[in-house]
Amino acid sequence: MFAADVAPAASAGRAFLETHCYDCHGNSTSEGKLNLQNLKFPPDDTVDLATWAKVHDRIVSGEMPPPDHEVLNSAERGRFLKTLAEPLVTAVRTEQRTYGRGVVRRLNRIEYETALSDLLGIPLRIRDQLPTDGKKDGFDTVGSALNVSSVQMEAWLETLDAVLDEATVLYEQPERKQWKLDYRDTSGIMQEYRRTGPFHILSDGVVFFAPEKHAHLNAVLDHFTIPYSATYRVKVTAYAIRSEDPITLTIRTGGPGHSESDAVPKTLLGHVTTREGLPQVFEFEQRLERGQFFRIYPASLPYMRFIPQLKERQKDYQGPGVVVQSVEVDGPIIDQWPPKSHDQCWGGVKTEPLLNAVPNADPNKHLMHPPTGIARPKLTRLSDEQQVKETGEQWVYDPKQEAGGEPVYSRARIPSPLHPTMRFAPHDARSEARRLLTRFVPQAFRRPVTTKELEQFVSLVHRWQDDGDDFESAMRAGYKAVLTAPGFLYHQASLPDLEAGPVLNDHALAERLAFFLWTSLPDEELSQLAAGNRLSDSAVLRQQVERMLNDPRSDRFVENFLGQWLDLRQLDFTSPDSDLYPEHDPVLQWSLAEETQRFFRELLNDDLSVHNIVDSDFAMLNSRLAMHYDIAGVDDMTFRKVMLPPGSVRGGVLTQASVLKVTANGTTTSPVVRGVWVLERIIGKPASPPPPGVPAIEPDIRGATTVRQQLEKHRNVESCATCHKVIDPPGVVLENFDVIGGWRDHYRALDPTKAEIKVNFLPNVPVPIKYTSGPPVDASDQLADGRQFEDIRQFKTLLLSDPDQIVRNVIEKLIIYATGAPVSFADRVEVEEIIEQTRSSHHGVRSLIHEIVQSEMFRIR
Amino acid sequence: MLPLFESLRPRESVASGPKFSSDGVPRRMVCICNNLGLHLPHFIPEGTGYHWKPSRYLKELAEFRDQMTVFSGVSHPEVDGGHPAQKSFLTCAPHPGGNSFRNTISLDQYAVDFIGRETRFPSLALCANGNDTLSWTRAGVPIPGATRPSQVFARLFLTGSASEVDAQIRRLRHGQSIMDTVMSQARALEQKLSGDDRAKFDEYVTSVREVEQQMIRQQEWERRPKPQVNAKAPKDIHDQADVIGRAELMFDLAALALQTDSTRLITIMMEGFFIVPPINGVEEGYHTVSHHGQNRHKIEQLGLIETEHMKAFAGLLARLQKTREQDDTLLDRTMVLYGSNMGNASSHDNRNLPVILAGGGFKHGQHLAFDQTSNYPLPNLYVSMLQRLGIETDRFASSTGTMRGLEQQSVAR
Repeated sequence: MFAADVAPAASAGRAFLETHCYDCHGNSTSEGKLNLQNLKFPPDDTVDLATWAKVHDRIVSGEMPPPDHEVLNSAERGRFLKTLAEPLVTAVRTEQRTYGRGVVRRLNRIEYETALSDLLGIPLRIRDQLPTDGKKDGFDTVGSALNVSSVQMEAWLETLDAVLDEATVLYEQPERKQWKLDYRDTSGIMQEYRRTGPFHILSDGVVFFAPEKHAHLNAVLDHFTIPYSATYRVKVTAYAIRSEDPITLTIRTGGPGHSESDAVPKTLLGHVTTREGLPQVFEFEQRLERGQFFRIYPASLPYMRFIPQLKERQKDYQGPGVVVQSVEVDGPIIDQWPPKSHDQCWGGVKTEPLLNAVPNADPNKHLMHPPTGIARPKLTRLSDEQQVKETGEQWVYDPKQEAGGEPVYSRARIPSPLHPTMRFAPHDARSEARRLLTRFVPQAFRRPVTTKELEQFVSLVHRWQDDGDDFESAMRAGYKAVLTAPGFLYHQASLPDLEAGPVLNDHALAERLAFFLWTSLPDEELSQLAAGNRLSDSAVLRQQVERMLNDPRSDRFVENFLGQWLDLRQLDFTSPDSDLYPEHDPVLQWSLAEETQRFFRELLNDDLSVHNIVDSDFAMLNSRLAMHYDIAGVDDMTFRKVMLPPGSVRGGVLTQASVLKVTANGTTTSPVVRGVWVLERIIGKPASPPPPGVPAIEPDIRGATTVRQQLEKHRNVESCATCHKVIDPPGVVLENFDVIGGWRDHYRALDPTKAEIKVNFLPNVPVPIKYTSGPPVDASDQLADGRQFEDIRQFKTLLLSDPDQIVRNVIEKLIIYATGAPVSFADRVEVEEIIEQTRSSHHGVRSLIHEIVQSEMFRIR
Repeated sequence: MLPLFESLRPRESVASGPKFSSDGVPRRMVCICNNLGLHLPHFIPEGTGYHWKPSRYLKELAEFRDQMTVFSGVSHPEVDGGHPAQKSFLTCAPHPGGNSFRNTISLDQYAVDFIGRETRFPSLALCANGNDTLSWTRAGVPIPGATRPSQVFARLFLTGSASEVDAQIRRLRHGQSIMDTVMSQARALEQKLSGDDRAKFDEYVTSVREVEQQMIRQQEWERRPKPQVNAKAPKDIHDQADVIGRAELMFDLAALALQTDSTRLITIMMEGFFIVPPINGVEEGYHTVSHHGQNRHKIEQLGLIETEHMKAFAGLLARLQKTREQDDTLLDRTMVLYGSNMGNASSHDNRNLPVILAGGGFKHGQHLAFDQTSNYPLPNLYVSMLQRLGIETDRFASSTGTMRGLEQQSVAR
């Protein structure tokens, strides 16, 4: 494979190696199991190539030869490195230009979901029905890690059944309606909940006291369900009571009942800020799914519940809460009927009504006949002095009261799937099949298709039609075949093109661009440009990248890239120990990913320097994060750009709570784990893997010894020290941040005297704090090269003393994500060029993306 | 339309997975989970090893003392979250209460890959009460538990009308022809590939071929008549309050399915609700009394309900014991796991799970008591069970080995 004739240069190189290296890495001694004397040069396989690349990098970084070796003459060193590098680059480049940079790559499950969603024009949620994908080099876009098995194939086939069901609309357009839902109608609430539910019924609404953890006891609004998946306008009217501080109200949809059913997906409408005084109105317009129920609760209040034994307390409770007066729903709002998905699959095919078809039932039909007045079963009206001044009349559940009778239980149920009320009645089934497939297949395959390819699908459908299938059933077989064929499932940009060689043709380029920035198929405009062979023009490409980054679909790039580069996908993998971190709550949890995504978005939109990744003078915050970071002046839940006070420890991603959380385990932090993470993700110089058989250090949560003390032992052993003096410092400096990213001067330690206290979350009973202040944190350390730092602020400055490395790392991560192949030894030349090209924009993130798209790395397969 | 039982499709064994070796004896497994647990002071016997005194609940199982092992001080590592932990009872996937929890493959589905193709139904996921399941695919997707005994019975024993059988076979033929079309496209592409690309793409080609073969195999099952049984189709109990009656129906059905070798892997989920079960002396909802908060009156009612559960379980064991297969009883060849995701439902504690393993060819008769403050991993029992099925694996989920103290019966016959 590597056939370059480099004999003369190689012999000069051998002389250098003999003088400086063989003593330790030769036939007699091979430290670190590296013997350069018998390592082939130029290498003829990828393993040897990687070894030489490592040798090259170690000499560049000055790690080798080691400090006790004589200092190298820099000219000699330079000559040697050149001797070493040039044949390697040539070898790799030859290989890449013959075979391309990557290996065949199928769609990962997220790409599959979004591609299918965009192809059909419905936002599908199907990724969880498909097996998890493998990753390589940190990303699930790398072909070699994306396996296919029969289980995978079956999962695709099965998912398609459901997808085609959803896409096919053979019933009448659901009527748009307006509802004003009233929480005071408690008829849907189970007796058990009414007795213990953390709410009071007032004359103007219902006041809720408990956050999500016990909000199932509210079990409210279970009498209304979203009737059809489409866009809705939702208007919630609410205000806080008995609280000087604003209260965050979470408004979302999900399943009904005690343990919320997974049969229904969840959709967040928003975390909003409610205050005392006049009722406030919160409006939303977004897609909701059939069968979803409203879940609304004051998320920032402490956990609490009333327990049956203490039923008096419900009546007497005087704690803060949020009064929800009404939830107004307007929808479904449908701009096209039949919907786009139906047109994509069946556009233009005649239909006829089914004989004796029963229309689909309205799942909210029972609301058309509301009870006369508000159902107040077994409710007692409080005496005047018991009433709360600001809210007037108040009712409580009183099981002893016989009057009132039991209500009619009229909870809505999760509705069954919509059934067809018409069927297809094509004039000529055979020619209609051909017409639909001729349009559909090139869209699904992102390229023109050959007659032969198309005919295979057409004849499949025709065979079934001849065998007696009805039109829909035969066509479905055809669509399932198209969507499980390699033309849909594989990135054509990863497939060889025998005519064109390794350079992507315009269609493949459009596809690569679309999956990079939109995690999806090319849209009409990209396809048109590709069809006219105009996309490969640099200026056009630049224009398209601009257009694509300005399109909301580019949020998928931000989410999927950060989800893996910064591990944001793992944010929910651990739940912080609630005894040690009682301040952690679902709203904070949600805010973590938002912050980092919005931060990156800001860099992308304003072409701000990628150095902001290490340190920035601003942060993207809402009130919950600002409270977490102890930053003043952010008083509601709307995210905004906040200039950080001078000397703030925040700024950059390292000190964002998201990153600090994914690098911890929920209970403790480990400088080793965090150090490895920072080296790999931010600095871009991954540590060597640990030697086998070395157990991880176990932090002592009782607080007797600090992690730091344990680490010192580690670093005093010489064999460990070589790597740990590099790994530990970036982790040690983050010790000032706890497992959820809060600042700490002292570790928290569980208080053994309180550890056994059982928490019941009773109203008005403060939850006991079960931790005490443990040993102080020492976050100072020194880098492997001896430069010292006191804290994170100084550490960030040190990181930025090699600014190009930060840029290089981000470019490399973007290249892997975008092209599905790692940055090779030969690619480095281009990476260095990109660093130079973007210097004038201070390596703005948008500029980086432009240059990456223009690079050869992006444009060969 | 999805098949009623997702697991109806036999699977190829995983290429690089553990080996399977059968000793020629058909081995079976039934896993039962009661999601509200068993009140531990009434469950855990006094004494350990072979020397233990039956607890109140275990008295109900006295007849099977030598054919079962009782476990205490066991749980799934990192499985917490209260009620959601029932999702992990057979999967052991950590933090089921977490927001982005993803489940993993359940014990029965793991075994399907090895013994599923021996029978018409690779496995049966049943739900006696409620609407949940114990069975999860490798991708962490739930396999819905069938809730209506009458429908399961029909599926197992009633041969559909000619048109129903035809419709099912037609669906499979559809699938087969889709795979066939896709294969021609794959072949055309394959010719252009070389080296690593070709090797990688071969995964796709192989998968298409495997799925096609599975569909063919399945059509054969569809054409074979179903076994005839000497039992009437069960009448569904619609009252969710009758937890015991509904459990007994599913237990009977499970025994019938095993006896006819319709399947060798069954899971049965049983959920308890707020409704008051029709049992003398019980006045409050089942779920309500499970949150007894040490209230004596509530514990007494809970005891009544759970005693009935034990009796129903004893009924299942008795049926399996009564049925002979060659020289063994069906119980000898069927591992019956009974347990819960709750150690203490009152405090939603998922540690110290009550667990019994009966039958299936182990040296039984012991109370294997482990540390109640630092639990022993229950997944280890699952490894022992998989090995007993003939699957030569040394791990399942978060296991650390096989169940300490539990040995297989030697095959001396």
